[in-house]
Amino acid sequence: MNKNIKLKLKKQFEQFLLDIDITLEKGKLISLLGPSGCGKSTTLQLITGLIDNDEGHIVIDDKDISKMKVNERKIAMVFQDYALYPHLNVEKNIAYPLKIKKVKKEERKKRVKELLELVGLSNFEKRKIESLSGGERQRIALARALSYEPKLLLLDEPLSALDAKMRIYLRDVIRNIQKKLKITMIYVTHDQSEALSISDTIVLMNNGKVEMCASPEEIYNNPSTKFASTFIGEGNFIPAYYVNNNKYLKESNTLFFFRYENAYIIEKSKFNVKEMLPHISLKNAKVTSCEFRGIFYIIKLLYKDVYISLYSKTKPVDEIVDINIKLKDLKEFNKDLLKEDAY
Amino acid sequence: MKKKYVDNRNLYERIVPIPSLLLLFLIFLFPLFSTLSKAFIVDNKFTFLPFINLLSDSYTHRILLFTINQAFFSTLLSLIIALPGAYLLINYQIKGRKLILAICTIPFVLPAILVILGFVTFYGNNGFLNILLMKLFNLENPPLKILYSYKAIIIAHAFYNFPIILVLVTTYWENLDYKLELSSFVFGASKAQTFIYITLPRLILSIISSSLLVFLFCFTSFSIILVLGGGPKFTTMEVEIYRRARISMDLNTASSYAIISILFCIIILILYNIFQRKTTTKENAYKSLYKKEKKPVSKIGLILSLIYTIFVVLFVLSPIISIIVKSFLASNTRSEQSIFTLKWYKQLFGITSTTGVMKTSFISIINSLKIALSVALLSTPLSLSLAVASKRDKSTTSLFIELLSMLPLAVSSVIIGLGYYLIAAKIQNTGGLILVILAHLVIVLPFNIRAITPEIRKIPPSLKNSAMTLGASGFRAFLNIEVPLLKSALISGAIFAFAISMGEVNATLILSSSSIITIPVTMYRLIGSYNFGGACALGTILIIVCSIVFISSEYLKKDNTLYI
Repeated sequence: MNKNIKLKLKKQFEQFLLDIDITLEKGKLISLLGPSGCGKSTTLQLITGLIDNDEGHIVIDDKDISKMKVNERKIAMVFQDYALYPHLNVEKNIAYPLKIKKVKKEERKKRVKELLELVGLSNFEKRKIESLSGGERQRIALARALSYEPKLLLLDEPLSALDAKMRIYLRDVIRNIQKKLKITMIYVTHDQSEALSISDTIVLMNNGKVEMCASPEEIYNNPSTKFASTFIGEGNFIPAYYVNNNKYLKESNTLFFFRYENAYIIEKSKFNVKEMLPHISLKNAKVTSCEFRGIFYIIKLLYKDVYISLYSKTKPVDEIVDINIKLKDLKEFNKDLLKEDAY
Repeated sequence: MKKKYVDNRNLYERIVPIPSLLLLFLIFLFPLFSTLSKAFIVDNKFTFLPFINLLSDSYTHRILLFTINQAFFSTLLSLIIALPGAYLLINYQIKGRKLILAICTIPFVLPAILVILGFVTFYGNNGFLNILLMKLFNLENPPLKILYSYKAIIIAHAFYNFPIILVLVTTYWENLDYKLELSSFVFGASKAQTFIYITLPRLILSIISSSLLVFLFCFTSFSIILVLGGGPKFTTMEVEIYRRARISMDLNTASSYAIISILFCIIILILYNIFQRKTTTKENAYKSLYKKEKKPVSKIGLILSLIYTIFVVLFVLSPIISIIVKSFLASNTRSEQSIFTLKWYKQLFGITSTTGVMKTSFISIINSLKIALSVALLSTPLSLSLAVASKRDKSTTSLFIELLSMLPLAVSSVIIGLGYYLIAAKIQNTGGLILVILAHLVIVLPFNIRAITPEIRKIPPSLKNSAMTLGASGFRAFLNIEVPLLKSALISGAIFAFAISMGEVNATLILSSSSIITIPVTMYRLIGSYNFGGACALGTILIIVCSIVFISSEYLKKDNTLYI
């Protein structure tokens, strides 16, 4: 049996075309990451069948399910607003899919108990939905989706309504459950740090298209488009001939990209450890501002006519400094290609 | 290649309303068209002539003008009573606030026949108000001659309708963003200037739309004018339809008047819809509400609100209370003094034998209960299935159904009664009870749909969607998730249907034969034969039913925290 899930989705909206063709590995946690309005939630609705695919296929276990009804696809979804049924208590909410499957009452009770244990809310059976906190509701919604034993579990920004601490706690809960049950999850988020920390694979989306589909490390270290390089992490662009005017002409269309953390300040008034690795040097950059961020500063500098930012543990003393960047950390982009980038 | 898949998701939303639509067609549109066609068919020939002649008849013009005239002044008086109340409720923290709003819901559930009887017993020549004034000022004759006049019509209409304006305008005003007023103060405007330039222009739309609604109700008002107007001098379109159909047996002319009345109502409804839509779009613009801090009551505010509260309580409650009091009173033959008695109730329940209209009063209670119960049981599933259709957003069918559920507002209950009267004549007066039930069903439906539709729209679509992603079919999700969430709306809709049917007098009066009489029809006949004691005893029973409705509807009011 094929271990992959093939998604080919196409949907034309009034002012927006969603066009996706990706293959995902089963048993993994896959994030759909992108700015709001990029089509992440629409993608989920297409997979569930809540809206219709214009053309394409959704292949799970060698079977195209794209023409099946919503309730026959065995794809569960945790909704952004949790969609818990206010007239049912916690137990009945979680047991709802089991009841539809005509599972016996004792069996249902047993399953609910197990699931509540799994999400860390034992003995919540008789609680009413309105008595639950946001984080508890979120976990009940997750437990309900799991009780359906779906082939694929979709989560639509499941943590967006919670505060920062709860978000970090619950994303680990979700990740641990995913690993434990080896279930395939597609997790929609607009928060890059959330995507980086819990995913096996990130599908980066922009404007209804897939920008990049790779592991978090790959996406961070080797972004293939300008959008990918700036949406995740922070970085600088600099014309190539500023760096190496022997190889590149002024008219050259090549840009260099490097992340904030890969550039170092070399101060003339200070003793500097000699760089061992091959690097390039941007001479005589002017420090324009220092922002304190706790464990580091963000230093903003002006090199020729380009503003550059980098992280530094200390505040530079000199006003004019050099910037060193390891050659392996420099990434080449073509300017003409970048122009087409909408973002 | 583009393929069109069959949309299975909302299949039930398409199927569920179909049987109800067919039924609605049968019980509403069919009688309506049989009425309307009557206007153009004379001696089995199709002709426009009688209708055109009627249109140019000066008698028609007079009736039409009077109908508009009384509706206009009734609306005006309702505004005069309601707007100061809205101002006080918005600007001051009044202790009587809850009382005023609760009192205001009473006329919503009060049948017209009770308003009539209440007015007769309170404002009449021998009414409590006149007796009180005569005793206070030692007068020989009753000082107030309100009854059976133009004044009585206007006051009764205002009694009935000022709460509509008060509640609608207050709710709208409360939801206006006060930030705009504050910014006006910042620019140096005074309170009065701010009110005139900033508040009033935004408020005016809701005032106009609620006034149009009241105007419509007054335009189609029937029994109040028939009884309280007390003569041919005060004939409106609806009264004329009744008179032509039931007294001069001229069905063609009655049908022609029905057409004119419907056309006018449709115009009013269209205007109402235009203004209603304008107010809702404006409302949406102010999402982030900044609510006004209510002033602690100043001395003037205290006095004004106290006066207003007392006025509202007396105005609404005194006619109702007088009915109850009068039902226990009988005049002593020797001293002309009123004494306490259970005579009317004994007659009512057949404990002491009696003659005349009172003889059939107990049967009318049984009839009314039978009819109202059937109407409540039938109308609720019907309204639910129609409300499902109106839930489907933006589609043409949804608009169609919304219009269809509005249409009974354009067609007055008198005209619905006329339609069924025509059918009854065709089938030689068999199945009378069923015809009354069907006529009531049509009258009740718009109200019942209106009780359910907002609630069904409040349910977030994600609830049904999630049930479907968890394996439930669309119809299963509807039964398991949506119907239980609508429980209280369905129950309160059914109770309202029961109450409206119990008190319905307009259509029933036209339809009624000697065999099918209801509580309101018996009350109408008792008033006509000056048996006020008996009428009040029956009225008290109706009041008890209405109170149950009133209390349970307050109890069933759902809190909005249900959906998170």
